[in-house]
Amino acid sequence: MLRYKNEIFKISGRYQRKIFLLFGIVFCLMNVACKKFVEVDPPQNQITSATVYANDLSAASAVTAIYIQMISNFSSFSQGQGSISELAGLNADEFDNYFASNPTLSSCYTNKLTSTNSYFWQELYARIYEVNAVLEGLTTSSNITNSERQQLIGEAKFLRAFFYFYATNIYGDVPLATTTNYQVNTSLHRTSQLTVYGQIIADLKDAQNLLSDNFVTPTDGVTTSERVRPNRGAASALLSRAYLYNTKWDSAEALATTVINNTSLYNLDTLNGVFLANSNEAIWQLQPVNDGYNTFDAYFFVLNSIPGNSNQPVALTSSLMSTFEPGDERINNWVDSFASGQTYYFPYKYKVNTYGQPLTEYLMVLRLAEQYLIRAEARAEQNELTGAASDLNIIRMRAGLNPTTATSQADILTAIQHERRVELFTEWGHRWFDLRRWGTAVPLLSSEKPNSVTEDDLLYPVPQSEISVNSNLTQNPGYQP
Amino acid sequence: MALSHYNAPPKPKGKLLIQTLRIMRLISLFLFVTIMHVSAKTYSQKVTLSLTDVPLKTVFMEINAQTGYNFIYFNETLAATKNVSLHVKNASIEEVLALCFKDQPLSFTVQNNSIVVKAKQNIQQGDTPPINIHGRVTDSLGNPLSGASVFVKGSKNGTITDSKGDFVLKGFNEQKTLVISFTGFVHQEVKLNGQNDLVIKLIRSNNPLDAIVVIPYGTTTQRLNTGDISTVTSKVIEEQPVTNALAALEGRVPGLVITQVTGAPGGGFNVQIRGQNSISNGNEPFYVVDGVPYPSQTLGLINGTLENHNNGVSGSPLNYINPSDIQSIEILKDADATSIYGSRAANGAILITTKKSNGGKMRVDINLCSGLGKITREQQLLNVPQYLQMRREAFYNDSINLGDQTNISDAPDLLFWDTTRYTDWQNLLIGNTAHYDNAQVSVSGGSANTQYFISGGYNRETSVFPVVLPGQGADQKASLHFNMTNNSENRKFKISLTGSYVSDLNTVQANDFTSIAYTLAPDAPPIYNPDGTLNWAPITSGQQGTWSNPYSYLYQKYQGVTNNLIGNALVSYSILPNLQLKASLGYTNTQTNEVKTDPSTAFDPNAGPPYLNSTFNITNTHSWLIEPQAEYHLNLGKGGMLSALAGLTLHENITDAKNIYASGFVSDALLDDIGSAGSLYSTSIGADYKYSAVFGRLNYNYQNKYLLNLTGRRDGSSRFGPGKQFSNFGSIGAAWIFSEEQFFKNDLPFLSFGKIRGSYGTSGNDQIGDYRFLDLYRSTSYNPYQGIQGVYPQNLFNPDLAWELDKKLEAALELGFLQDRIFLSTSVYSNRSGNQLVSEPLSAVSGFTAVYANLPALVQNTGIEIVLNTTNIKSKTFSWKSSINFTIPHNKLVSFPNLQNSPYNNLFIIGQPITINKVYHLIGVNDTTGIYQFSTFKGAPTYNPNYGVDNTSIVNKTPTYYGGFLNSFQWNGFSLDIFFQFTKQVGTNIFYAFGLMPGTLSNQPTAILNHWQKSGDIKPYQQFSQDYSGNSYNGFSIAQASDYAYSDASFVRLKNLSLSYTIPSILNQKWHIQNFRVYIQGQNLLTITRYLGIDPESQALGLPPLRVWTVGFQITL
Repeated sequence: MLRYKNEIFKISGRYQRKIFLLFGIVFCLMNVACKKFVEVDPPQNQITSATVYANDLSAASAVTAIYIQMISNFSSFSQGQGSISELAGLNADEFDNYFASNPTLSSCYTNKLTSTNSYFWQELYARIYEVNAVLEGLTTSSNITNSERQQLIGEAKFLRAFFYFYATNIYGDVPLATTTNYQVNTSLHRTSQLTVYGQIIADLKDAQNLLSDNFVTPTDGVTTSERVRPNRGAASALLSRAYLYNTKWDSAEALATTVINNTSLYNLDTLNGVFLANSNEAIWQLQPVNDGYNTFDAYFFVLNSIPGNSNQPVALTSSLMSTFEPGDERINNWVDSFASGQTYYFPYKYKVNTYGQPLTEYLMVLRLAEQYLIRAEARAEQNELTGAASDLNIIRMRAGLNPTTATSQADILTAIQHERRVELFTEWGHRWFDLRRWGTAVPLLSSEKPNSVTEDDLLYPVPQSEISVNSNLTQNPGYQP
Repeated sequence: MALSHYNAPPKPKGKLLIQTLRIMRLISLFLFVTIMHVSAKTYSQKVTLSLTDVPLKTVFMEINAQTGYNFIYFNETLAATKNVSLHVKNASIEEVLALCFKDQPLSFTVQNNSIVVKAKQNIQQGDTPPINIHGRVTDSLGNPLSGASVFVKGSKNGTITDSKGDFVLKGFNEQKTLVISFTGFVHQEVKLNGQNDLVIKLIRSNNPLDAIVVIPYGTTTQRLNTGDISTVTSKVIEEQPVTNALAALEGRVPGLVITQVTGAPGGGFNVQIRGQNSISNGNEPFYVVDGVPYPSQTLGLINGTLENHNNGVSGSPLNYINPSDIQSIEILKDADATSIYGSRAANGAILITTKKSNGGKMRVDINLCSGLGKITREQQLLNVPQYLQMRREAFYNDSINLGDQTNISDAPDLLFWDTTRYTDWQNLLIGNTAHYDNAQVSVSGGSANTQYFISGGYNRETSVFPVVLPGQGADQKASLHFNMTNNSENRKFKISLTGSYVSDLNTVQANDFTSIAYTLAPDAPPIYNPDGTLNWAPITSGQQGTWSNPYSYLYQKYQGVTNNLIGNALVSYSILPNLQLKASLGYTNTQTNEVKTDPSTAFDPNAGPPYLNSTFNITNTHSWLIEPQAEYHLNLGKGGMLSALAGLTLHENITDAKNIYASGFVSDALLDDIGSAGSLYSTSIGADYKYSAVFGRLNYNYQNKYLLNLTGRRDGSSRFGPGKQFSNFGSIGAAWIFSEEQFFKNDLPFLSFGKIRGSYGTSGNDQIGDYRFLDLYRSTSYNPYQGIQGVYPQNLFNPDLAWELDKKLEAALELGFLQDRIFLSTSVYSNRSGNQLVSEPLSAVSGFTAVYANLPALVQNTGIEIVLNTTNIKSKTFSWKSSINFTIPHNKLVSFPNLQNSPYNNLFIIGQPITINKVYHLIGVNDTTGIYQFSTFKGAPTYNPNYGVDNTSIVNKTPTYYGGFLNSFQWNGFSLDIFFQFTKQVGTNIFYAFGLMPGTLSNQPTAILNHWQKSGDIKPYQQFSQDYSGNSYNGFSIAQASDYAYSDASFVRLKNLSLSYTIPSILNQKWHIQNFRVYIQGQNLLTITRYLGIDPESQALGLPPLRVWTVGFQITL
């Protein structure tokens, strides 16, 4: 304690220096402490990616979320209304549109799409981002068991190939995002379809090597009867389709054969058994996750009133109905009708369309019948006509039909095209992609649709909003503003 | 050389009764007996002593104890004294003192109840030796004033008082005059007539310029403030019958816009200081209660009445602070005032200071009031014949033949209900009277070293909605507040403890009836059946009813319990006379527990099985704060004073919320039990916000004439990613009190005060929510897939996220004329907010279409604010004072890179305010078709304008100007305050609010009668229709997004009227009370407006602020 206040004046300079020095030191110490202090743990209802890929279960959960979102009611793949099966069915000659006030359905049906609609683009890339995040997370994490890492990377690569297969078949050349870096992805150019297929095939080959033969549980790799996760067969099946689309007939045939020969897992089922959960024919199915619902295909396609509203927007075209040969059992088992003045036909592959029923039907993504038809087509293209006819007849016999009468290569190819239409109708846009692949889309659709269809209409427009934010993106022909 | 100062109350001289009263008061308040026991004795004038060889100090203490007389002296004055022996019995004080000071080198004087002891002067003629002047500066209660400046008049020689109020000036050899000044007190001149021991009592200034203004980490005065701070005192708050202090600020402060979003008790407020700075993130000011940050918004409540989700306003946390406990509210606006809060105060700050005691005699204050509230006005709606005509015309226009009875379900109002029946739904559903009851009791007082303030309150408020269930429909609050301040004997150590606890029980109806009251058909059926059950008006018994009975909502029970604790301790210690170490420690905890139940009685029994469900919402927010600080005062000589402050902040805020939706109950009686639910759906929120900072302030004051204030802060927030957490903020503020200059004093004598001040600085905004920089995954909310749940990435993360930066510039001129009877303050400001936190659009190829990022968009708020206070008449018995405040704000989007490609393209225009709406322009009703027509961007008429192209009409909802006008009258004991609030603005009107097409099954404002009926009609409103898919509906829905939905919402409102009468002090003495006052107060009494709608302030179709009258009395013992 100072005796006289005046002394403060004299000695304050000395004190001042000391005080400022002290403040300086304290300031520095506090600064360090503060830095530590403001680092927080993540919130209780969310986890960081580092935590996600820190153990087998949560890493499997990140992959599982991709399946969940593919099958949820918000998915463009499976929500029935607005799904790939519905829109591509309208694009092609499978569905008539009765809900004209819906601009998306109308524009798909008349093949006059508009670039103001983003269709599948956003969802495809959202899933691709998630796949890339899984791949990056698994690569950097060191806590995942090797077997789990292998399984999950395999699934992720399969999924990436699957999404890019649809992206390139819907849009043609597409940006090829293989990382999660948004600064890179937001300004990507479109990559040629050939390169995209290169990535698809590479990913599927990796997936073939990584995935197990059997269907397994998400975490411990135990064999299960649930066919809801891709396995090696699924990778081979999609790869055979990729080769088919690229006219690599021999590879397509070889891969389809590996699947078909795996009779311990895959066998053709009865017509009414095909779309049941875990049917013998299933190579990959998606398990519905909306409480109380089976598939949304059944919910939206099965008619119990005159079509024309948002719940019952479409019905099968008369051209499809007239394509079925007499005696084709598929018309009895996979098609049904609702009559009110006029008769409306609807796909009845999935049957459970009411809320609250037990879960008996899964959404089929890849099935064995397609592999027979792929091999038939690949063989026919390679002029192995006997083998082609034999594969074709297996499918025909299951439908209660006699063997094909076609003998020439051209006739057999035509028969295969017909068979694909009546076997794979309203499934995953097969018909739409096939028509473009075969080069028959423009003449055929122009004659069947109310308006003419041009070559440009066969690809969807790149959403205008995307071109607005990324000037490197170009629009598909015919959609220039 | 401490100056001891024994302070005890003087001996009471009154009657025995008074003593008894005092004692009774003490006994009844046993809680404070320990505190008071030192001083609450009765004293005698006679002294009895028996002391042998004791220091003089001991004698003084003994005399003090017996008589209550204070001894004032410096310790060193006693240093040279001899011990004394005294043996006296019942001696008078004079006798004893004479004995004490015999043979001592001391003299003494008796002043009132104090005995000032001094060294005897050795006055020599001629040569005057240098002397040292010792002194102590205190307030009128004897509390030392630390930091007061003491100068020798006419010289630059001076010093400041230390923490005990003491000073020493050395080496005087002539007789001088000292000038003592201290912030908030009248400066005093003391002539030195040979004394060298001084006790100087300063008197608190009653000039508003010297009123204390709370600033971050300290206080100043209006006079010496370099920043822009508006203070609203407890007097203003107490004059208004409000339960949320924010309501009391409406219109009172320039630059502050407060909008009450609902008239329901416990509802929310929209608060904005100096306009909208942030494009898409929080524009909330930073709230600080007694130095501790306080949340600006409650976590989401499940009671829709209390929030306005349209405006993004949730409940107000200030509902849980008792307005009666508030001493003052400071609104900090410019950089100089806010910069020291760094990253949090870009939108300004609101400092709330709760009541404390200044010590002195115990004071018991009781305030009771009761009041009534009603809606301010009713809407003119269609009567039954007009309504039926509208409906029939609508069906006719839609070519529907109502003769066909199959249409009953489409038109029950025409075909089934009793069309001769009329119900005034406004009166029934929102026309009730709300009741207010408020009781507050406070006890305060203390001694020189210890002061206390304790208050308790109870408040109950009901709404204007009907109530059918017991216990529903009221908001009740009980509160306890205390402050305890203690100084150590040597005045070095000080601790101040403050606590507030509010427990709120809100059972206000969770569905706002206002929109139902306005839109329900006037011929709708009676509420109850004759048997007392709810009437659902089925066409045939057992069928689903034809209407949704509004009273069914009243059977849904709501109960929200909120407990709010605010605790704060301020500890300080003077390690050196001018260096003080302080620590502020704070804790707040807000817990809300809500339950809302839908029992079977709320459902139409014939509409299927009742869907019994309950919603439970549990939220918990708690935060703590530690702020060690050091404060240093330095006298630079020649009238220059430097104050330095440095400190550290550590702050954490943890929120935790769980919302559970339970359904599948089997009985109404089980609805409160989560365990009885058949199924549960729950969500939870948890967040942790940590914040740390170092800060400092340098304040230089040269002769109270030139003021310079520098602040700086280095801030770290957990809301930003590693490497981006820290940032620096700072400001410079300066003021020149030019009226202190001699030439102004000489040449402009009418100018009593003149100050020019200016400031520039930065502050930030981190209101982006927590964790935005992390790559987070969350659970998919679907059934498990193959037995396991999914987790998916929730957002793109941006590790580079940083603050929104606000640069504030302000200049102001403050002028006082005629002894400050006219006081004018004018400020102009310009705030520029850049580095805007917006969601930046990305290509969807990135997985997401946007990422939160800092964009160099720039938003500018400029404005001018004027406050004029005048004392119009001032006489002994009558005074009239006026105060007007006026603000002209302007907002502008200065720049926005790549606006045309961003999602904001349809919202903003560069150069225009960011508060604009781009809407279609309504041309009018086509006279042939009777449908609304709109203008394309080229000006051509169209029925279907294109969004993004034709929405070129711009409406701006920011007020053009606003302000308030207060007149205060005082005549003898009467006091009358009349306060008007005014705003010039455009807002959404009733047609927007109703949102229902004229012709459909809903009532309408009478204005729509002026509608198109036949070809050739030129009318403002289109034809009636009830078809939701026709052209009329198309026209109507586009009109809702056009300038048709906006109109002038300017208003002048008699916001507050307060009349009180205080009984003359002569009666107080007679009745032995300190004060007695009766009052009547009114809020929102009169609104003058041309607004087409319910209320120009709230604008929404929700319950507007009510008109409230209360009467009460206040008694101080």
